[in-house]
Amino acid sequence: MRGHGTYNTESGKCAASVAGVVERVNKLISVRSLHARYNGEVGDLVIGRITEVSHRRWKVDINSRQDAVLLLSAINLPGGIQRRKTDADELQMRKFFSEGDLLVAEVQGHFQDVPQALVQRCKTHFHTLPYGVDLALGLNGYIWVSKQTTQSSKDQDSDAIYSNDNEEIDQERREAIARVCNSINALSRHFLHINDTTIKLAYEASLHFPVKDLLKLDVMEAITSEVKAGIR
Amino acid sequence: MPPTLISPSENDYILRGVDANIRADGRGRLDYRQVILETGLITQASGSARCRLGEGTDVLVGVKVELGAIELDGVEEDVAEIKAKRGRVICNVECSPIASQQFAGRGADDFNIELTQMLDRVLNGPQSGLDLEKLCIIPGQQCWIVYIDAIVLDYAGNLLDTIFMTTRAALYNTKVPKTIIQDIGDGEIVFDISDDVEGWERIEGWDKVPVAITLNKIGSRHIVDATPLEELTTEAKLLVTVNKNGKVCGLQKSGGGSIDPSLLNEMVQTGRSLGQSLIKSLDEMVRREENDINLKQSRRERADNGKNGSLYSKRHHSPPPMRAHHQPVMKFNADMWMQDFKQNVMEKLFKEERFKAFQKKRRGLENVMDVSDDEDWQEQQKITPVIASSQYLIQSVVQNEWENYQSSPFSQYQLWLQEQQLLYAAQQYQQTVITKNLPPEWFQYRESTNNE
Repeated sequence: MRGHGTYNTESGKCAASVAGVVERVNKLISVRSLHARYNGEVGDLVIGRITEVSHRRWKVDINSRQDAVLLLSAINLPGGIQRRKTDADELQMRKFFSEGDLLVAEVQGHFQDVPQALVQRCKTHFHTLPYGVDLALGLNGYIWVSKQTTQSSKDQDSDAIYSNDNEEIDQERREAIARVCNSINALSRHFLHINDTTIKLAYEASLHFPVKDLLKLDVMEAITSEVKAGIR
Repeated sequence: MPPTLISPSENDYILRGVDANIRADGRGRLDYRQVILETGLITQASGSARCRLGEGTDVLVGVKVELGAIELDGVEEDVAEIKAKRGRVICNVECSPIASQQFAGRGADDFNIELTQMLDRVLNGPQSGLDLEKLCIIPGQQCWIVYIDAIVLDYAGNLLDTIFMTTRAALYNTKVPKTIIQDIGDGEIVFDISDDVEGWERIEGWDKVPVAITLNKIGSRHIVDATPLEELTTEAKLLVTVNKNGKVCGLQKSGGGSIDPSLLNEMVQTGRSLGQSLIKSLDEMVRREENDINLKQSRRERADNGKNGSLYSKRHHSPPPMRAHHQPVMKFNADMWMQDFKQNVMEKLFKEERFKAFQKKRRGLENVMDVSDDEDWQEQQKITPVIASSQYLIQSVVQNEWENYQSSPFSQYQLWLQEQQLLYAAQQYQQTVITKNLPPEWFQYRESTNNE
């Protein structure tokens, strides 16, 4: 059966009308184009940036055609328990998120932008790399790289979720974060899939070079070719 | 797409990173990104260059040297005296909306003006190093005007530095035609522009054109070559323009923050030393590129053995080689073809008719269409099909001829032949695909390989 991004040729074969990734659900075959805007789907993990605070809702940039809406009623309020949101909460919306905020509260990292088609759907999008770096792969192509958090988010008190203060990050950790970011950048430039395996491969390949050299084009190529060899 | 907003935690991360001398992408405070420079890309321009900063910021500059009049209207006398002996430089910077969302619509207008003025201020004074007096042809009348147009194709921070770098390289690439001035007496001067591309010269003083270094003050430190996020964190910016001798040619402070006097001094010094080394490496780059081109050129000439004239074979200097004129590529269009076909038949018929009329007239028959005396009969035919009835006749003739052609055994055979060829090609293609048995590529469908 033909899905989006396909058509029937005259000889009765099913062909792709866009360059992209083939997706198959039972008999339905569709092609997701590589350079399309992100299309949200229920259950996706995305990373976004607040662009606007308005009446009982935030507008969030999620790399999509339109800004997404985050309702006040959809967030966890301090105190932990689920309760009706009052007018008082509405008045202090900027306390939770204000314009420019990234959408997971404890930012300890940097923000990376890759073509969204490169991020595959998988079981988990939160990874902890063995270099003391946490990773959140947004399906919209935004990637969150941060320092590994010590306590799990369950025992955190909910005020800390909305805090803007960073923990102290030492020199070594900073370098590791930059290295991961640059590795991801190299992967996206050379159009390779981005998941924890490829990132780990790229990171290990990059260890031959100082961090700032990873911005050089020939070094990027060397790293990605090693990753390609690793995947096969 | 560079973000236009920044969260306080990112702000903090960058601030502390600058303090620790490890920026978000692993660079130190005074590390520049890789600069990729190309020159001579635009055939129609007198000179051009494109510069990229680590595949991020991308700027294309074209320089066009044109003849123009020296304008002295409404200028004070002492200024006019200087102006009368000088050419001009006119700059324009445009931010393309493909570079960033913030340039879409009218968003780029103010920014364009800001960048244009900055470039204009530096290049239009004595600090630019360009010898504008050499651009004057006839004092008070004619001069060369240098148009510098910059287009921002991609934006990833540090735009002004890139624009200045590219402009310098484009000016290096620019060649001005030679002029031969003749005095024909009575105070009248005539000049001629030489066609000899080989003899054209660079604008005098291109090597003294300064580059700019933008220093971003973040916290109590300063960094160079900022990324968009770092630019959002920046409190105050200082633009230092430096020429190759290390002379500071201009300073501009922007941004809301303040700069401590001692820090200001330090920033200017950093800008100076960085600018000088930047110029050195840029010059090295453009020279190497030109050498490469010349080497290829001489090799080609040796291969040609002087068969092809080498007047326009030198790369990328105007006037462009003839082949650079874009000829429209026309696909086969049945309607157009039919129209052409009709036109041809019509013309043939008209010619015949005219000939007949001419002959009849010679034979003394007066009562036929007389067109033989009209000198521009060809134009007339094209504008108004002469007689309605004859047009109808022509159309039916055309129809018949076309049908004849279609049903002729020759065209049938041609069609059959084409079909056979296509079928054969398709079979061949299928066979190769099957026999090659390509390894699975990443874009082919696979079951999810991620097992966690």
